[in-house]
Amino acid sequence: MASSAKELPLDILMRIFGFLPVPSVCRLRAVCKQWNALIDSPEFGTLCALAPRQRFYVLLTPGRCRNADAGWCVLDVMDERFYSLDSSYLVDHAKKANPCGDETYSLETVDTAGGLFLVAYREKHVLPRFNVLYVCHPVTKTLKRLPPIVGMAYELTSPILTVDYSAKTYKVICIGEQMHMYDSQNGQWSELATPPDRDLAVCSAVCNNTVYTIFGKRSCHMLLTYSLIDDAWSKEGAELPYNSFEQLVVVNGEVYLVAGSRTSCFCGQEMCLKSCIIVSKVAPPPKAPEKIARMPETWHTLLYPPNQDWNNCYGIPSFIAVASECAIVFTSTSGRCIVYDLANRSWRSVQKRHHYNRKLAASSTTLNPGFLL
Amino acid sequence: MHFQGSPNMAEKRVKLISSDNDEFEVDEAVAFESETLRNMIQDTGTNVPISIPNVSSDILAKVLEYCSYHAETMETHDDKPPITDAQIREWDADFVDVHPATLYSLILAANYLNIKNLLDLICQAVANNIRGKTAVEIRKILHIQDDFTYEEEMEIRRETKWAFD
Repeated sequence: MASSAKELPLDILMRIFGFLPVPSVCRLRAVCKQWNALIDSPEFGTLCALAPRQRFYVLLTPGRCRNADAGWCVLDVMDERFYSLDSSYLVDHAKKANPCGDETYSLETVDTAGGLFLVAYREKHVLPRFNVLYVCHPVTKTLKRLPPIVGMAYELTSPILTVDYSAKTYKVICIGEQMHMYDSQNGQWSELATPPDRDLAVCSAVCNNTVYTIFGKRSCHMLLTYSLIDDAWSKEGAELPYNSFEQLVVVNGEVYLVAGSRTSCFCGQEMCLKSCIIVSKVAPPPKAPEKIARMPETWHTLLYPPNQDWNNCYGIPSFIAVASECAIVFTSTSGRCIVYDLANRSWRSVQKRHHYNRKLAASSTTLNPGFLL
Repeated sequence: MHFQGSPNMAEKRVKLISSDNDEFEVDEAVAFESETLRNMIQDTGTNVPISIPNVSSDILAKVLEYCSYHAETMETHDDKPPITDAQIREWDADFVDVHPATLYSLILAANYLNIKNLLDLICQAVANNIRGKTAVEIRKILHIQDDFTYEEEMEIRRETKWAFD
């Protein structure tokens, strides 16, 4: 009979650890040698990824960063705790590759998926701006520098990352005038079906081997899908109503559109700004997204810092919506978070505040302790 | 010893023998919560008592308590309102509120009997016990000996510094 946890079989220990948030699991490495080896093993990473109650973290990063202090910060939504992740290994690597000095490049975390971060390295004052993509694992602190795309001289546009846990592979997709995909299985870029002749991709998301992309100018936005299996774009698109900003969020195998608009109008003598933030469920086009929720207007102020009103952030949203376990999390530079629970269809706010004064980019991830790059 | 399962006499009964040679009798539906027992019953039928040599009487009684409650929640009665998910969660929370040593024995039993929901429930309970605790506290709770040298432990703490903040 087991009287101590030490006597539990390893597969059961792994199952128990799978229920813990990743920071707790990392602390467990210091308990004993057996646990340390277990948590470092690749099998554990796979198990965590497949665990029934996988935890989601919201990653907060400064939009662009130059030095080591601009690391990653993650929010554990369930525990309402913030953690700082070390990014110095990436910065060191970037510095070595770029001996010209600190001021000539920037690092931007552009996407996350499955516990991996996709970081774009850009050189300033060089046209077209030289781009390198890194895929980083924040827990194992490993990184992979992706090879450049052959024959592509322009800037990498809207790169997205998608991870297959069971196969331990990932793909990076860039949608610009052409579409390219990097597959970690063969370590190469390949050219995919050219996107339909439209405007720039506004935002993209990958779900069930389908890439959902919104293309458009200010007045006319279209949602199109691309099938990774058939290598083909959908023939028809779904026209979206006018919005000031749009983001696609994947939660539990479903795609949601977070869209908002700001309009100014005269109320009597004064100029007023009206805003709304709406969540819609996205179906493959030509079906239009179906509205499911609208953020209570009084909550908008929670997302916007007192000194930063709608006027100061015209054109770009100063908050970001990301997927969580069964919810969409809205986060902004005010350090506050608002959560829309998709299961209960209810809104709540995360009480704890984080002091973060830079412009934020955010995305969600399941920190995964054992995926080596 | 007869375990009080659901009082539906129309169903087949299954006899189980624990490691201390106590006999338990339950409805087939209760035994079917366990994949292992389901396979055994489907192979040998309900006439032969099934011996479970690595589970003691007190633990087996506890496991069967879980199985019969959860088998009951699956049944629909016209006269009784159905058991809500909230009630089940509350019952489950009470069920795992036991001494850690009992939890470990239950894990092994649930693992052997292959009762996935019970295994997940207890693993979650053990996880809740250790989450948010420091390595020193966990060693104390779980009676684990520290086998690191000071340098090794410092190295691990340095590597995952963010988690120790």
